[in-house]
Amino acid sequence: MTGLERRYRWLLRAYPRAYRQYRADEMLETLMGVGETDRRHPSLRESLALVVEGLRVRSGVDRLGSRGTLRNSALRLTALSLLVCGVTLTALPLIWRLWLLLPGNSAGFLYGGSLVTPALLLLALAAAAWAHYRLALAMTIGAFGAEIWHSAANDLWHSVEPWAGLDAVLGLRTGLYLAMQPSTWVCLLAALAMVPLLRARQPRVMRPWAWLVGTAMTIAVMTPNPLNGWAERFTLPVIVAAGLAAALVGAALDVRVSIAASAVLLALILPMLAYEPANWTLYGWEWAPRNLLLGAVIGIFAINVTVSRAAARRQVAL
Amino acid sequence: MREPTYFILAALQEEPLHGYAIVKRAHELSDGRVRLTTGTLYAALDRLSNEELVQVAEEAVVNGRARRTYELTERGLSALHEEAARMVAAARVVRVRSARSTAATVQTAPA
Repeated sequence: MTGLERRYRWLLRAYPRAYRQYRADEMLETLMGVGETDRRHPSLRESLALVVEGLRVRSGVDRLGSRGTLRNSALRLTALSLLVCGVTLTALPLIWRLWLLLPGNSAGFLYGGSLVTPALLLLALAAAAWAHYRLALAMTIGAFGAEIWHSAANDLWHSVEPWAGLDAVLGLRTGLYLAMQPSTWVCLLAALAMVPLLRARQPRVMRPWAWLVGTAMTIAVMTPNPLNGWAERFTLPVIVAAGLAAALVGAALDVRVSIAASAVLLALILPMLAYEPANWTLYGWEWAPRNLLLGAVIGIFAINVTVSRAAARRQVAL
Repeated sequence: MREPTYFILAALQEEPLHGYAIVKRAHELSDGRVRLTTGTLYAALDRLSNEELVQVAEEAVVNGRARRTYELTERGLSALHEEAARMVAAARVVRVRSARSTAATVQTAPA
């Protein structure tokens, strides 16, 4: 075996084992034929193509040939990503309490929030992961209901000057408060993503967990919590970086990633857009880092939507 | 249909070919425009096989390695002809218009 052949064999590891058993020898024959005879290393172009196509085979996106199957698969991943995001965001009070139980940790305040919402969202996530969308939808609507009940029961609202006139109107105050909560938009968007799936024919779900672990870890890192040192000031830059990475992965490998990222970014942007106008009304808009980063997040969202549209068209073309 | 797919089908029009021969033939037929990488070629062949536009014609072992040759199916041949006809019709639109505008320019030019 020559050095070039050995290097090509190593690159072919990007493909799953079953695929390699069927195709590796044949591909190697072609690679050795196409490569120049005096070459000792694979060309960058060939190497990149092997890695990208190998990862596409692994993700399964290469088998989603028709518009319908691609749409359903993207909706499924979008719903699951939103539910992971929802669980991570709404589980903060629980994480906070657990963190305080550890020796050496203390705080002057208690992070509030309903524990029913993350529990229902977790059940919705498990149901959606196994393609029981009817149950998942019911749990998601239940989680949204729990959020409404919690905020109304505790009379939660943002005490900001421009909305002071709404003091007397409880429903409006609660509605405004809910519009500023990411969990509201997560529930709403996840439910919208699941509705078309209720009628779609579903392939049997075999191993739904592998990618979920990755997504959950990514979103957990993005969310300010004790695990990442409550790094709130880093949250927006991390969201921008994660959104950019999703756009790149969506364009090169799997369009479903940029579609799901668009939905998650939207669920994070909408509460910010509901909240920030109060600050802008009070203090005026300025070139503050937070405003710039919010603009960057919206820009990244637009990039992901554009990438999703272009990559989805390319995906279904022969 | 994307250009690489079109030239893969065009390469298989005359005779069944194996992977390396498809890459070479597609390169020649496209006047050097289409340079297929091995990863792209086999992704396209998988997709075209799923769509029943190409199929494996023969499997053999050469130099100790499996080698498959691929051929067009009836469906693949008609898809290729449809795409060629579509491109001819699209080219005709431009040629007819450009011929008309040339004729109009000649007529309005001062003697």
